[in-house]
Amino acid sequence: MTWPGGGRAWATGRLWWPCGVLVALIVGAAATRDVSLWKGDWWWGYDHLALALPVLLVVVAAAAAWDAGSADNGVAAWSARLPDARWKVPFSVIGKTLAATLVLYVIAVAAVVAITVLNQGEVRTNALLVLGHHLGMIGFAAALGLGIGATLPSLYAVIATLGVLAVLLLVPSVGAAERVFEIAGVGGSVGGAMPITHREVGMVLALVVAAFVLALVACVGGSRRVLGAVSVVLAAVPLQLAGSVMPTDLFTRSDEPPDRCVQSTIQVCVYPGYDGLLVPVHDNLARFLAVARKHGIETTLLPQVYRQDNNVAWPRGVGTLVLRPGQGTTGDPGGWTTAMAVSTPLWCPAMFGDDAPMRLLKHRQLVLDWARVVVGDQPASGFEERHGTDPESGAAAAQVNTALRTLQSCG
Amino acid sequence: MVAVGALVAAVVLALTAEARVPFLVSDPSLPAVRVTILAACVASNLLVAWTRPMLPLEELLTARLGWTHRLVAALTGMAVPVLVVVVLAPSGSAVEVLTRLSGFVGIGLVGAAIAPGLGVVAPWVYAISGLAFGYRTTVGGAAELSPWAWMIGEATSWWPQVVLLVVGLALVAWREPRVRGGGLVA
Repeated sequence: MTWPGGGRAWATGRLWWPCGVLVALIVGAAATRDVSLWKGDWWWGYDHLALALPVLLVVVAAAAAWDAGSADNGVAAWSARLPDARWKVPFSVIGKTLAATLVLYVIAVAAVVAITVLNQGEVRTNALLVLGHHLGMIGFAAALGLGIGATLPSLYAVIATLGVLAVLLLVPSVGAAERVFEIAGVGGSVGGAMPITHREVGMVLALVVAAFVLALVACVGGSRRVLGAVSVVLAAVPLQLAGSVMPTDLFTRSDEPPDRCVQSTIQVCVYPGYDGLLVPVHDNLARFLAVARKHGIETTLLPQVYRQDNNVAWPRGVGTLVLRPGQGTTGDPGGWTTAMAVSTPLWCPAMFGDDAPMRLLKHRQLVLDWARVVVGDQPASGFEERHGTDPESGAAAAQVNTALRTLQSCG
Repeated sequence: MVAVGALVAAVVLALTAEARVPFLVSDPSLPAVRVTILAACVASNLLVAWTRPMLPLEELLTARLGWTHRLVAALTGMAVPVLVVVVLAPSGSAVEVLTRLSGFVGIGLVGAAIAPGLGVVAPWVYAISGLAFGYRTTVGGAAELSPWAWMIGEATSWWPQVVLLVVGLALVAWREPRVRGGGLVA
């Protein structure tokens, strides 16, 4: 049987090493982007690595499709070689490609784990779920290439596979607002958050079923194009189903408070991996409180306990530290963190409501602006323009005290 | 078959000129993706397949001919989809669509000159890389597009894409297709 347009397989061709190097470079670039800003926040590091996943999917799917449709190493050739053991055909065709990609990804993840742990971070076991999901996506991409390559020659197979993969990656799934494959961004750290278990498990199951359906085509054998088309549609069913019933959020809060703490006159707690910021943040806050006391602020109105942000309402009087890898996880976190922590009343339910609590925010703005002047983040003239008093004066201190009382009572 | 596919792709490209889908990565600060990018990748795949000798003889525009013939055939092959886009696309967006298409076709042609499969994969790798980590998000600020991923952004200047297309066409003209028992390879 001749396969017009079927080229030599990549897996056995000359292009193997250059493509491998290219993929490794892309994975490395994605993983080490902003590496100077990241130390111990496991999810931040892994999410950066996962940015390389779409590119990996494209390369794996294309390589699998090309190999499966090729004349010398494709599904047809292997089916002819193994007429009594057709179940071995998928592994023979895409085995090397898939194995190499999985090994590469696992090595990259291991590197991220190593850097996290070396910087006092923590990797919880539920990370395995997300890793399993992403490995499932890689396996599915290879199976997609295999299934389509079993029925079309190399070139057409690659074009068709990449088109289908693009639809799955980018177009929202039927009945849901989000795509079938959801990739967490790197918009911020998710310290204190965890992946939604049933979502991850559901998606892994859907991927396995879909990959199985596609691999079946290669076993059954087929230049029958109808079979190929039907299998792609059948494989899409579990994915679309999962996409429409699973929650659209990837993470939910873990309800675990930050447990790396330092205690003196105030208590400051952060999540694992941010230990490098613990002492600088604490020192900044203690210094701010001392200066505030000197200016006549009633420091009992200011929080005595500060915890890292977890998108949750802390108890009354607990200040929230917003620490993001973009601010640096070691060294000076800057005055902004201090100013935000002392002025933001996240113990008030109104702060999490649908409408912005304008009155509360007005008081908060006064405290924030005053704090920013103290820490040197804003010039005194800015405060005067906005609030009409000299920040050094007793009148300003009285204003701030009134505002703090309002924030404490959420009124 | 590829010719028909290229025509269909051109029609899809024209009709989806204004459509957008949510971004590849969950991040509200990133803009929605233009479907044009995807349609242009598929269209460029088909156009590259049509002009580079990867297919059986009867589908080929550039058989064993001199470089002028190859170039003219390639340009003719691309003229029809361009016409389709110009006619069908919503007014004002035809230029933008064609700019993107020429950029991706250029990448495809350059890739195809290196290796057959690369011409098909290269535009996709570029587009998906750009979408996945071309944007740099800043804390509390807008997302910035890295310079190398300019083709997936909004305000794309047209001349780099056209330069890419010209380079690609030059490679089509320069590299003579080699015949290897049974079919042509690039």
